[in-house]
Amino acid sequence: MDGSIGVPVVRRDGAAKTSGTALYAADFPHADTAYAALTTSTVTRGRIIRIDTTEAEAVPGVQMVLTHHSLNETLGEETFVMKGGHMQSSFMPLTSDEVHYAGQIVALVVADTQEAAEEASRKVSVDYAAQHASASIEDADRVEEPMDDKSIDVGDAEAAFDRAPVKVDATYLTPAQHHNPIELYGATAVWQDGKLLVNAPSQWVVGNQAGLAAIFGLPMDDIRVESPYLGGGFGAKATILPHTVLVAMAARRLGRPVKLVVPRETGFTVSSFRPATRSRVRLAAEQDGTIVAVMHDEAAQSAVIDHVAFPATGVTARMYASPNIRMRESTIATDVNTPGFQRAPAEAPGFFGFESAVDELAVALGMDPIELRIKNEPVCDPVKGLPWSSRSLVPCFRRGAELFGWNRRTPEVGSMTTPDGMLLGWGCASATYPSAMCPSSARVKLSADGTCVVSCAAHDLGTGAYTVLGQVAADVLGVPDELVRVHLGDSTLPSGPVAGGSVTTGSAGSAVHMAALAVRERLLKAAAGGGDPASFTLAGGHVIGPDSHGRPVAEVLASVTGGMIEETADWKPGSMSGDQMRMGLAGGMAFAGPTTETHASYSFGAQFAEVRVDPLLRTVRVSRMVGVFACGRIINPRTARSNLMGGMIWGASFALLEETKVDRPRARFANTDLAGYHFSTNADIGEVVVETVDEVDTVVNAIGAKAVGEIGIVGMPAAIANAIYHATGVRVRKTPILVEDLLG
Amino acid sequence: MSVQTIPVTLEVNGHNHSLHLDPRTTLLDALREHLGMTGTKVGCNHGTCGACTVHIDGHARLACLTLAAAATGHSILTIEGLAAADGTPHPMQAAFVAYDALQCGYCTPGQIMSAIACVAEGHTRTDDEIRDYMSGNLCRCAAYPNIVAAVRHVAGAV
Amino acid sequence: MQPFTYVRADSLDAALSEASQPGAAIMAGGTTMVDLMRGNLAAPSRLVDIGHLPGLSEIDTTGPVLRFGALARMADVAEDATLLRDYPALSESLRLAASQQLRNAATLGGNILQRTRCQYFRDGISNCNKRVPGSGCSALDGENREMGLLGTSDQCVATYPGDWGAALAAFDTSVELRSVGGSRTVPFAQFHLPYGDDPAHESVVQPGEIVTAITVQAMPAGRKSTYVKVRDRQSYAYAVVSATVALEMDGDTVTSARVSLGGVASKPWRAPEAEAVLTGRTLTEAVALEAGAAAFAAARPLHHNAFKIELGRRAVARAALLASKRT
Repeated sequence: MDGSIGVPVVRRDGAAKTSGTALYAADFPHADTAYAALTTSTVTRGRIIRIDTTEAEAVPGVQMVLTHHSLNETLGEETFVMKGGHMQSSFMPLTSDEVHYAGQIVALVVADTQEAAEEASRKVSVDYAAQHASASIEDADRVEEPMDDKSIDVGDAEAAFDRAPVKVDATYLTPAQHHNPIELYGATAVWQDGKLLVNAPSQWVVGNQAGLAAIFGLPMDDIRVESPYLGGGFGAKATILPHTVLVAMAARRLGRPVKLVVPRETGFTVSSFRPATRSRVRLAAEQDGTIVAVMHDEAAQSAVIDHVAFPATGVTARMYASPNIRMRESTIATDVNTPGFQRAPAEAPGFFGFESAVDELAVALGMDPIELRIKNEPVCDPVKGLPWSSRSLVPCFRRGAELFGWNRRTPEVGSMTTPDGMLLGWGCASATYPSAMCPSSARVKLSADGTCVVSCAAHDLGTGAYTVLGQVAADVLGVPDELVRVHLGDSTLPSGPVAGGSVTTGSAGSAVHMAALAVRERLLKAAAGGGDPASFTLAGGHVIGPDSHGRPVAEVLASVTGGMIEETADWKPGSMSGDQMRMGLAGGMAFAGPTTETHASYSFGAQFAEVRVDPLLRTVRVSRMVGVFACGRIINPRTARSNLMGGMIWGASFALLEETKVDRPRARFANTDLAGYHFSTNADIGEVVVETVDEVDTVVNAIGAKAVGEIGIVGMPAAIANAIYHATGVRVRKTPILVEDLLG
Repeated sequence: MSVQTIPVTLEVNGHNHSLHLDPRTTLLDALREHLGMTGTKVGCNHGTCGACTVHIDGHARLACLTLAAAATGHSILTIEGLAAADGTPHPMQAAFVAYDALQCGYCTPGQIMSAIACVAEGHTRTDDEIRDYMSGNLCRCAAYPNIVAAVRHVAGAV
Repeated sequence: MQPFTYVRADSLDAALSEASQPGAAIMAGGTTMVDLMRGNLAAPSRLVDIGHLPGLSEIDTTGPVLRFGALARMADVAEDATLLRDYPALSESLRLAASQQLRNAATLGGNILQRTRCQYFRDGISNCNKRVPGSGCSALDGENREMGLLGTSDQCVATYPGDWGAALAAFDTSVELRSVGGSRTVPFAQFHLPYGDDPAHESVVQPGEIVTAITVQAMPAGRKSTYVKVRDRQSYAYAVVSATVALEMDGDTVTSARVSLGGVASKPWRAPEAEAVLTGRTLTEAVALEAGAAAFAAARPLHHNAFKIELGRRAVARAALLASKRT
């Protein structure tokens, strides 16, 4: 092997993205395209009692207005992703007069121009019979529904907590948040000869293909979902969003391509979002810092139309050795569009409370928070007693402390200041993310011209998959990186996994590895002729025989039929059944791990934050962040670093900025634009230091890669909250931490 | 009835384009939907993200808040017009790749247009000055530190 | 957007004539107007583009009266070296506003006519007396952290969002208006209308009138002035609270003070109560905070925004202390 793995190869798609030639969903040119626009519900719950499209249809250029009256078509059987389907929600707009959430699609207008469609969408007149609604988990009429199957009980945590000399019992709140990828939601649908092409930004082209096939009653081969680039997904673009279906229906009726770009404000309700959570965390320890009880009760926002939950306590339970663990989950149904996956869906909110509580315990003990964490490092999974496939949290903390300069920290509140009089706060937190995996196929082709082509219906959301998956093949085949081509994001390619749960490198990478090995085997066999292929090796673009004589790979390939070798491999996680694999490859959700019968596989990280607090105005700036992570083998340190860094900055936004406010009297989201929904600008971010520790994981998968994409966000909100406490003595138990929380 | 249009001439990347547009058409939609120049991206249509940043008469401006009709008579530069005639990327484009100043790439054309203006206008004396100047371009992937590094590199090279 | 006829004016007279047509609206930089039209918050049948008019973008920052042509761009004025030296508060208010791209497009005249960011006004569906007079105000019992607490009424609690306007309020500023009928000059204090029973009307500008210039009487306090903007993020955000302070001092004693507030009031808000506290006093942090408290004496807080009284007090104090150190 020529060692492409571990090399900081420059992003393969960098040139296309910096020149404006990379085609995102709305960039594909289709002749004679008509434009769609949405009319959305102005009430939260109720029924449409009258919908009048006369005025809209009179707008010059309007071709069609779809409403629940005019849709009038039975769709094929398909459902919510959490019920085994592919849809963002089990409720499909325009299939009835029901209104279940504010901003629900009630009409789709199609016109010759974007301007006409937009104008007409405002002229659809709707009368509603509105009913009382509630969109906040804090509303008095909302009830917690326990999820008993998510409970974890080890030992007797209540009793241990009662007996312990040092304890923390606190409740933490995180708000609803929206992904707000910069690329707007949307879809373009083109029908030709009864077959459907959809250009929609997608983190799951095969899943979307399968779902659309079911909805339209077509074989999967008649549906193509093409999304080679997407402008950020963060979990929002995995499932089929309802408007994609409506656009496809409109295109079929019109016999023309139809394109929809969803306005920013509408994006808050036609997609999913991160639900609000409330976590009560109870921790107890002996005087020496030995944790004796861990309890975490999480209640999370769900939707009336879909029960959905991303339980954090199954992950927080894995953090510290404790003989007594008690975890409880519940949901609170609200009248909102169905919540969904958003970068570290369970972990980011859950760890804010949990890792804040660990800091509070350290303060209560008078102990250094890193020392407390190291003291309670578990040798095996505290819940099931399974060995870790790898766990390097302690090395992460040691290296992180060194990079951050933690030993210069004085623990007393307010004891550190900057030369210009700002209060300085230093805080830290642990992070983890499960290393689950999905089955994947991949095709690798090696040609006599020296090129290697990797094809997989996986996705590069900016994560680096184009680069990383190519490196896996290049490593096996000894091909220089510049001769590698990678094709992703197209359902016509061999099936790839959803870009979710940080699975792509481990899953699609393992499939590419498998296919490349098969190519290599055939290459060596061809070189060996009748001889023993095992005595041949591949190095430096040459096949080396037992006589140490090297033949260029191109020469060997020239002797093969077709002048190339192509292999497709189907890979599955070791613990997964063949049936599960086939279901997954056909576009189903098939995850294995993070715990199997033999091991628990998680990535870990230690995160540090420095904040500067204005002593008078009490404004906070994150001046420095350090993150050290253990994610198994890092295929490309350059793209991995960017991904982890981006996650950390998400964490800073989570801590200080992000909140989708709920207008409670009207039960709808209030700040639905980027002027009102804040996330970090360039000026908000100071120095960010990211490192990974060397870690070998021979269990998790063939290439030893664990989860990278989401762990960066996980510990950051608590690290920042803990730093703010260190600077000010104010313990803020909710996010975002705003200036008014610190005014005293 | 068909849509009423007016003649609009746009000078984009040194070439004149004569179009017939609905007066409501923004420069952004004219570029993307009428000229097929999709390098300039739509991120909010409200002036709140910077993805549609182009240069108008050398200044970084938002194409989503500029009517195409109002852009007539002005010189417009987009991401497609940055590379040299032989295809060599603009130094800022090269620096964005070299410093991994992008992830999903969607905000990147707008970032690059702002970054070029930032250097041209000399707002690169400190990292904080670069950060402030570049704050009109949101990057949800949060490549910010790498963007600052790319701008600093190009500023140092000129 | 609703359909409109686009008219590009090539002279002020032509612009005034076009502006006098029924249904006409003026567009200069477009940053406010295009956004309002897109949100259906403005639906002119005739859009008069004055962005290309010659002669209205000159500025003079050296004379006894500072003169800013209405079409001068925010970015250009922010960079004016004389303004930065003699009136740093004005310069800073421009530099801290919006983003570079917006400052490159937005004009000074358009900026003072910027409309509120109140989400209930912008969303097009909530009850809003500003958008649909008589429909009520959803902000009163809704999410009102971003709302105002000075100059508000039971009809409307929205804030004037601009930074430049907030800073101008601390100075002796006037606005020059032209129409086919002639010209008039309006003191800035009377330019914006407080929200009484008619929040739909935000300024004295009448249909057919065009803002042609903004003038500011020169004053020595300009040098000891600053604009402090507190916002939720470091850039590209509206003020949660802003404070402008301009001082004349004799040693440590304040002989004359100007104080204005932004982000908390229905219009650019002069705070004479704070000025009175500062005048004649030796400037200490305690005095500065006392002045800040006085500025908010008449505040009418809502459920989510009462903190702005304390934050505003501190912002005024910070601005006063910073201004006093300017030379």
